[in-house]
Amino acid sequence: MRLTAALATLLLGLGVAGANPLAAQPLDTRAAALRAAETVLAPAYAALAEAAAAQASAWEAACAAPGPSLDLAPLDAAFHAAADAHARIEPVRWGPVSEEFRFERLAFWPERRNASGRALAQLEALDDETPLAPERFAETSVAGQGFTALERLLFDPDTRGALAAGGVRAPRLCRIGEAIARALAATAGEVSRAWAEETLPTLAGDAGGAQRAVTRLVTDALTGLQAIESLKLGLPLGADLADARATRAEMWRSGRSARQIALNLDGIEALVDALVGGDETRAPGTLRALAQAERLAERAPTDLGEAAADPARRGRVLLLAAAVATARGNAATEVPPALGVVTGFNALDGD
Amino acid sequence: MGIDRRTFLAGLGAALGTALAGGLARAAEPVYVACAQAGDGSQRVCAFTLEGRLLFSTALPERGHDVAARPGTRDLVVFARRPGGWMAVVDRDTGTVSRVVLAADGRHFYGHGAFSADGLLLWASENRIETGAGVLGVYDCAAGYARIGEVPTGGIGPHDLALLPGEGPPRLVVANGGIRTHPVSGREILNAGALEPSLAVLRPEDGAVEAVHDLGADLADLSIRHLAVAPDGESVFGCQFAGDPLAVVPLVGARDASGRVRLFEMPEDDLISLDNYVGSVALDPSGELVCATSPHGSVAAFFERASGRYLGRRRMSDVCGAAPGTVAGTFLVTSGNDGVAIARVPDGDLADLGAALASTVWDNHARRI
Repeated sequence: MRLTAALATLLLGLGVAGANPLAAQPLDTRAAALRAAETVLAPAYAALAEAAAAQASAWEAACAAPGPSLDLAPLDAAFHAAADAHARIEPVRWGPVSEEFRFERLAFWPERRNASGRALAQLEALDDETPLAPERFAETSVAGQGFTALERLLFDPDTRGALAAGGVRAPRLCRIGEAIARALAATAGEVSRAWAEETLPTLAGDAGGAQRAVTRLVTDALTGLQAIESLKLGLPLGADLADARATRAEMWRSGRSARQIALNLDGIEALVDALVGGDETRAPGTLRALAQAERLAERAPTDLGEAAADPARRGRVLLLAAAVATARGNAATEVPPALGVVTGFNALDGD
Repeated sequence: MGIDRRTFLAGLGAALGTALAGGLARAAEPVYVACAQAGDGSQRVCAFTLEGRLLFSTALPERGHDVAARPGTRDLVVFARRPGGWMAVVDRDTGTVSRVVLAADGRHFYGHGAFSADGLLLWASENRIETGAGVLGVYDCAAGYARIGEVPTGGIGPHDLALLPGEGPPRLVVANGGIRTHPVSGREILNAGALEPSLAVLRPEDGAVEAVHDLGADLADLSIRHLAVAPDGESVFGCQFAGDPLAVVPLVGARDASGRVRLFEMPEDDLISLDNYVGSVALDPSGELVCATSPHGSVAAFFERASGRYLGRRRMSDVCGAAPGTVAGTFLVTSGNDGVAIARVPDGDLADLGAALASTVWDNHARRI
């Protein structure tokens, strides 16, 4: 796989070797932080809050609707819209989303030991409404919260079938979906409000804080690319074809695996672009490689996990992984010096 | 990767006279030392106070890893990060490098070391490259840190080591990470899927291996890497899992003085948040509380040692270094992108030590000296 990646890097012709040796002055980090916050981060969290609120309303309406069967179409549409909004901002961990473990409560992935499945089964088996109450639900296992759990509830054939058929399980499953959607809306709302009321004003008045913010945001961009490469693609790809695991792809049940990656890349591209002030000469290899990886992700098979395990289609997934690796390599080389920051390395290679 | 004496000395040239203004005026206040990368990209070993004051910042030719303080003297020894070619003796007050010891032929350092209680001997974890056997290099401190021998660690890939308390001949606990590497392939795991981690207790005087503990076949991929020893002789260890990335395995445990090994339990959500990786373990000044950091998960987790009871976690981006604080119930934690902070356990937010330390990229470990 490493060979393939190296080869693809050459083929894609996106290496940064030969980048402008006359490095320009680092950008004003305070301005960069504000630009990223005002034009990308705060609007993205506002959009997430809005989509998550709409999703909660959709579940409330569905669960309140009379009749035995449930129309899943509005729930599907609301889920995809909210998941889209989340995927665009998911790579960012700096800011209010890092407090009170909101990041994990929004999405707890990768799923380990069938944690979300177990958490949902427990919620369903429990003959008690209390844990589903908004003020209590956040205290339950994070594996049963957020987009990972909701996707499973809505798209796993077992629970989806039970919801649609309107049998004995449907009311309880609907209440669980409603509780997850409401908690998501609450968390997304908290993050968005904190950005508007605390983070943005603080950033505007604190040069030291802005320096730290830029360092963290650059780290988030690099870590986000690493996560796409090693988890979102690496887990289904495995070490080789025999090791490939289709169901380790993110959101494979809803066919969102590739879309999640494309939107993550879109969000990272927007973040980097805002940090460098829309100046393509500041991070040319990064922005080019991100755009290329995003194109490949948009055209990647929607059943990304299945494709990774399919000899005939595995190459397309490997190519996407190589493009993401190129973008990460270019970003690691170009972006920190362009902004005059040094990123931490413990997460990459502690010992 | 490889470094010879000439390039080391060239790198060191920049290090001369690096003690900062005020650094010489050593206060009685607690001092911490850690390797770091400065804003200009240079590798450093730094000392600082809890007021966030930098006492010295000495250039290193490449990344350092852990630091050990020689009892009764001003010597600090900084070990190169694995596969390390050198260790440097640094004055704890001025930061001046007084001596550089290169790895012996056919050996490289793993990044950690420990002194004897009388400060006469230094033991460093090393790789016998040809066979991959773990050894402790034995250094005579008074003789200019001359290497006077080596003893086997009873395993491969030894990483951290610590002196056990007690009378009689010195005894060391060694974390044999079980990962075989070769300098030619850098840090690549050459025995993936067949790791041989163990915790060994040695008597370095005669090389006797008193005990070797493994964690069982189910945890064969769990590399035991870092240690913190309590006054009662219990060794707390932190691990990194090299197996299935989606497995959920315990990452912190302890071996008491009688040789009983136990693993600390955590709620599943919290354990998963460590992302199968603990970068450092430390004990608080009372020796009763344990801190385990995960830079992968950006989480510092805390335990009560006697009961193994989990006390909760704090989020800190890229947190890795951990050391005792100044009062019971506190730890110092360092990050690659979020500065240095004091953690108060079990409750209380992380208290940041200020902007002067926040612009530095702190490397894996921190020590209180």
